[in-house]
Amino acid sequence: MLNAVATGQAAFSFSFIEEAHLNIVVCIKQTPDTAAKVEVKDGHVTWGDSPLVVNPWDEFAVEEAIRLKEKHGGKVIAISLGPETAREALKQAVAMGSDEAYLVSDPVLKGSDVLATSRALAKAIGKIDGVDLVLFGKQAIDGDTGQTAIATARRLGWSPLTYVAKIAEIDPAARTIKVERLLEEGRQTVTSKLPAVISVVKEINEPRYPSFMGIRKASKLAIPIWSAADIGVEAGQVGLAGSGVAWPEIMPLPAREAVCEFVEGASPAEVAAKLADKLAAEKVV
Amino acid sequence: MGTILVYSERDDLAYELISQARRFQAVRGRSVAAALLGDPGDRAADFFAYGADRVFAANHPTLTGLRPEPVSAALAQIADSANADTVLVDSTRRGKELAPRLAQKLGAGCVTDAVAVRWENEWRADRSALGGNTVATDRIVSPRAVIAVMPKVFERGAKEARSGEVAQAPVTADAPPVRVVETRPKGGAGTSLDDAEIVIGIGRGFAKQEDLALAQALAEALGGEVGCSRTLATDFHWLGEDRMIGLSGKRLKPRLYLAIGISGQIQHTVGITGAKLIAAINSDKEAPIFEMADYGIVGDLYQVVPALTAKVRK
Repeated sequence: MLNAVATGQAAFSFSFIEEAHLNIVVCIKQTPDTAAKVEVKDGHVTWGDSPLVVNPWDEFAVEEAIRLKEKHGGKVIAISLGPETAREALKQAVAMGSDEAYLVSDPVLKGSDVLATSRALAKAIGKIDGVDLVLFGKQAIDGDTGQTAIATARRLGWSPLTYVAKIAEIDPAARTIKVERLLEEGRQTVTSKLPAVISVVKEINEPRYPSFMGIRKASKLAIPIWSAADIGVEAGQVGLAGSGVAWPEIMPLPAREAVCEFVEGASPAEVAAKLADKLAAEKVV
Repeated sequence: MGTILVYSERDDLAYELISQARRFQAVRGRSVAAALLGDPGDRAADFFAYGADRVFAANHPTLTGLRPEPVSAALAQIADSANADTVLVDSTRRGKELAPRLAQKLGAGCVTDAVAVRWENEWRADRSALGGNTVATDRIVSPRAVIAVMPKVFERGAKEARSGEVAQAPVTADAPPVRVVETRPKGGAGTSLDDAEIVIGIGRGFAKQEDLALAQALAEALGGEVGCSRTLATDFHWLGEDRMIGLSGKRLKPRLYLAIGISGQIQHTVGITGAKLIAAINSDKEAPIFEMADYGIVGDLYQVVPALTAKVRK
């Protein structure tokens, strides 16, 4: 614990008070790059050879976790549930500044829906002592359900706080947190007890790039794999068997039906005038 | 007999859900129950008229103010009292807060953002996935289901002369663990891109930041707003991210979308498929944007845009 303080800003204020530290878990998912070319064939999706990255929404969660650590002291533990390749996403989180990383990976987890995923994540989080806060991104760009943070919170019996755009205040001693949530009708400030589960929106911060030192650290850090047995879930509770929703069939979005009429003319002024006339005739301007 | 339970905090959406639940009776053989939370007034009469067989009412201070924890707890109790195996809620942001909480309590498979729901020996629900590029069909394989349906997916049926008994639902009123301190309404000053009827979308065809004035002048002449591709916002920082359109930005439904110097990669175009009319100006005739545009100009934006602005001003 002293080590964690010595590396944080708290070292200068001599506040070695143990309660003031925050143990923050950040849950990340590995997804295809948003620039990936998505191809859909026979109900399945392929991403070509595009790189897999940290789900872009989760980067905001990692950044916020690191900022909270820098402010309050403590440590950031990144967790990902996924195949072996998801190790790379965890390395990214470590390179940004997370202290530890664990990969929850097991063939029996394949096909897990929100119910099964939240069951496994809650068990994994339960393996970590003294967790104060769990952070999620708003949603995963591939699954797009946006339910996992809420479901995991319910499993843990902790308060879910969603659409969080600002963490206004944390009082580790009083075990309370105050956040601002971005809702359709405006900003809502709420308070809750710790531990809490938070999903963040992109307005909360601007994620940093990994530092050179961070990348070196990530390349050296051992990332343990937790199997289903390690976290204490049985095969029937996770994967398709433990799911309420079966792995979806995926079809391409019906294309926008349009036949482009090319507007031509002898000069830019002429084509511009023709286009303006057509838009006026369509009654859109 | 099992039951389909319906809830929305908005009565107009509750009517849509009740109407559809009644249509599902034919294929699913379930009775229709509706939850009525908060001040009941005479709202139950309409619930019956649209097709509810039973209405479960619960009125408690914690069930107002749109708190998802007590509302989901109350709904779980009502679902048990009503012997409901299917719960339909709306997929507004609030409904999406509610659905997973309720699903956890019921141990139910949960789908949100549904744009179509069918019974084919199991519930199947379509929703957009992968950032809106695709339609995913979720199959709910658990005995109970919670489905959050987008507004206007189901048509509101005709009212019928029906009535029924209102059952009072039990509510355990735990102190909510999350306390609302204040709610500040949105300021009116933010970008009005979301509601703009005319949107000028700009991309890498613009060579430098100063040139954006060309697009701005056209937007002003048309009474529209300027939006942009991801590159211009996140890589070049020429415009704020609140003006970014597409997969990681906004989804818009303007009357006119005018794409200028935008090639039309799918990451961008998912944000504009809802536009009524799309026109594009691009120097490359092969640019994918022309495949989805209604009108196209192959030309140099630096010549065409000022000419168009001048023409519109006249």
